[in-house]
Amino acid sequence: MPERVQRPASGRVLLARLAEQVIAAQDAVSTTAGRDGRWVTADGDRLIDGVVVAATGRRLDVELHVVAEWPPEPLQQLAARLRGGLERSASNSGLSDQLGDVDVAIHDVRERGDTGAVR
Amino acid sequence: MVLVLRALATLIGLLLLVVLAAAGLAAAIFSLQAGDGTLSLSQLASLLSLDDVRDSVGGWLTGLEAGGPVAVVAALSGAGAVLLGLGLLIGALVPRRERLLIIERSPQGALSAKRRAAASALQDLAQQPRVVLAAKVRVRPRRRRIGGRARVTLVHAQTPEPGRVLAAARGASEPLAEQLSLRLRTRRREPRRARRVS
Amino acid sequence: MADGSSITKESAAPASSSTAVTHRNSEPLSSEKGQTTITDGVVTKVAGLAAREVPGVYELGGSTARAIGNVTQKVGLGDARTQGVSVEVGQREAAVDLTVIIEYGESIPQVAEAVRNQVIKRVEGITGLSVTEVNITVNDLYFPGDDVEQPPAPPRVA
Repeated sequence: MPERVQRPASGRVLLARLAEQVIAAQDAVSTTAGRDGRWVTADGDRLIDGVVVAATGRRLDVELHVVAEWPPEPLQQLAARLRGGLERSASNSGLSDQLGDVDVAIHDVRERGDTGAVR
Repeated sequence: MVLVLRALATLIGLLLLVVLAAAGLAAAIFSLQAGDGTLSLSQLASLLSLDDVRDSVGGWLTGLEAGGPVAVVAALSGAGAVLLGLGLLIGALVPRRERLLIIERSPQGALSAKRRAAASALQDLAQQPRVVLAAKVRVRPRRRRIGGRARVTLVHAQTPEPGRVLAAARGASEPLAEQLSLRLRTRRREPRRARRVS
Repeated sequence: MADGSSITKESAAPASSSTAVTHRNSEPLSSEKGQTTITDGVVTKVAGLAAREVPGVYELGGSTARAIGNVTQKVGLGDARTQGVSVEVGQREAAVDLTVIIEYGESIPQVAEAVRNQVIKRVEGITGLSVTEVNITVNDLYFPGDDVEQPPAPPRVA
């Protein structure tokens, strides 16, 4: 059986991975793929939940879909921190030229242990 | 079981009311035209496959048709019947909103309570004194204004001091009534004398 | 990209099909590239959770709402934390309607005032929206022992 050729990851996938890491590094925030699993980015065999990367012209706009834990900090502050974190990571990885807008959508606020689905 | 039967009776009553209102509305609309016109009673009878009824009653109805100046009165009556039918339908179908008891109102918002909840809570409290066998509470909120009245009717065992029963029940329920901005009125009733046991 | 704290409302936010409040980011420490969207459900949830934090509040909603809620939760359609909470959200403001069950023994006006203050504090602090009004309806009073099953009454005659 011929070996699968590993193609280098696209800018889209690289940014999605960075976004995933940025969110994972935050306390009290987690991603959500949505009720029908539409907010995902495919990365080979797996799906990166809660991150959508779309090309607009030469740049890549990133959407982060998250759920905050109760009681959250002010949500605008949270969004700004996620945005800033992704911009710094992109800059460190040499992707800042490709990074476009970073939109953050907060879909729910959950108490610890509450795993209800996001509508 | 009784609750189910009551619910069924309410549902059937509502359905019959809707059917009656719709039938009245249909009869009023089909009275707009005389003879065999599209909106005439004979046409309605045909639609409902009531040809025999049409033949026997139709002659009588034809005699009732108004002409000349009386036609205006008949037309107005018909229009009134249509409006009445519509009104009945609306009254039957529009859901009832429970009147709320307004406790407080401020620029930051209103505090209100459901009438039934207030009555139920006052009833529980009024029944606390031992001599009180049962209490019935009726809450009447003021329309669009704060507060209202609560009338408490107490049924109590025979006692040489009925005044104390009233005072005890009032004492138990007054703090809550005050919080709810309700004026409390209490009255008492002795139970009907038992006949079956001595 | 807009400077300052301008707030725009989009009828179709990029991330959600529900009407959402969107804020143009204006934080000086990070780039101003991107929008922040907070769905209406978040505001409702914050209001509900805030109300529950107040001592004296037994539950939100009423017995019928809770019964229906139990069914909808089982089929994955409902969220217990938003029962009894209704929110009207605008671009900068929100109005909240709550239906509560208060524990008997607590002062109803005082509990209501505490609920109002807590809801305003949490919603304004967390979402940035200004709360114009908080209307509270007391759906029931909870008496201790309401949940305890009563033993059957003894026979009245020998």
